[in-house]
Amino acid sequence: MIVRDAASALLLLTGAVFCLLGALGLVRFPDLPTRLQAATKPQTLGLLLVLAGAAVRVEPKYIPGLLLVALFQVITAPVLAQMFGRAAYRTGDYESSVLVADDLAERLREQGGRPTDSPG
Amino acid sequence: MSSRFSLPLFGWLVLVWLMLWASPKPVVLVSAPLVALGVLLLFPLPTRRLPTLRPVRLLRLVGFVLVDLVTSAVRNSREVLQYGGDVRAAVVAVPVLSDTDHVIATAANLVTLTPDKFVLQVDRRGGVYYVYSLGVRTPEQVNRAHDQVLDLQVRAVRALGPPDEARDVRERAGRVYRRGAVSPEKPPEEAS
Repeated sequence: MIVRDAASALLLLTGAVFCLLGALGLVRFPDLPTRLQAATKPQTLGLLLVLAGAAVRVEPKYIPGLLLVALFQVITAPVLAQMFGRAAYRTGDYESSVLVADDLAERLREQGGRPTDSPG
Repeated sequence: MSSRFSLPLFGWLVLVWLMLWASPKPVVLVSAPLVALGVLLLFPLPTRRLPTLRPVRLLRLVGFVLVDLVTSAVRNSREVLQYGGDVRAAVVAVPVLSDTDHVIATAANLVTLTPDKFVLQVDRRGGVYYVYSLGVRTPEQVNRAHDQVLDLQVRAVRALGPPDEARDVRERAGRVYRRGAVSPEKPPEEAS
């Protein structure tokens, strides 16, 4: 029992630390695309760790639910990042001083500023 | 009707419903197929054919992505603490190695889970991912980001792609790697 408690505590705390770092990134990073990174990476890992910590401790019948949460987080977070990132880039809502290279801007210039077609 | 109905997808939806409620009550058991059927009828998927699944490679891909996710979170946290507002990034064009919709979408999503990157734009016709990569400061790092995306794509195609693509994907990736390139064809501007 004590082993499970310890494992659960360790997972929960590590997860919480990653969530905190993600939140710190939101505050410290300068523009939307960089903030998205902070919102997706450490947050996702943090949530997965918290879920794992919970899964160690709860009754087994709740574990499938936790698995679903993890699965949908992993599936949806990238989609969200992509949609917001694209919107931010298209509307020019980013600090150009952050970028050391930009292949997409070159491409768009070649095409006279018209965005390329793309699915989703 | 029959073209809309995919049995594996139906099974998956039923499973999700059962997992959500986590109880074998009759109401849940009866509503599961109804909900699954409703979803399938209301939201038909454009692709009928299910992806080819190769379990071993898929598991290795999942493991690889999990490791990537951890590295990703750690590196991102380091960027936060070390640079904060002074962070740098780059948008890198990477060739798409597949011509199958679900593989392209999956690979794009996986890229978003890997260190410091997300796909900003997919140029389906031109076959290019535009990947936003955080923490890139030098041309070498741009090349490394480029190759990392290729690596992941190779894994994704080998795990999920149609057989003909899976067979020669390594070879095709090999032609576009920048690994060890002395002078990249597009030297990015130096950060000032």
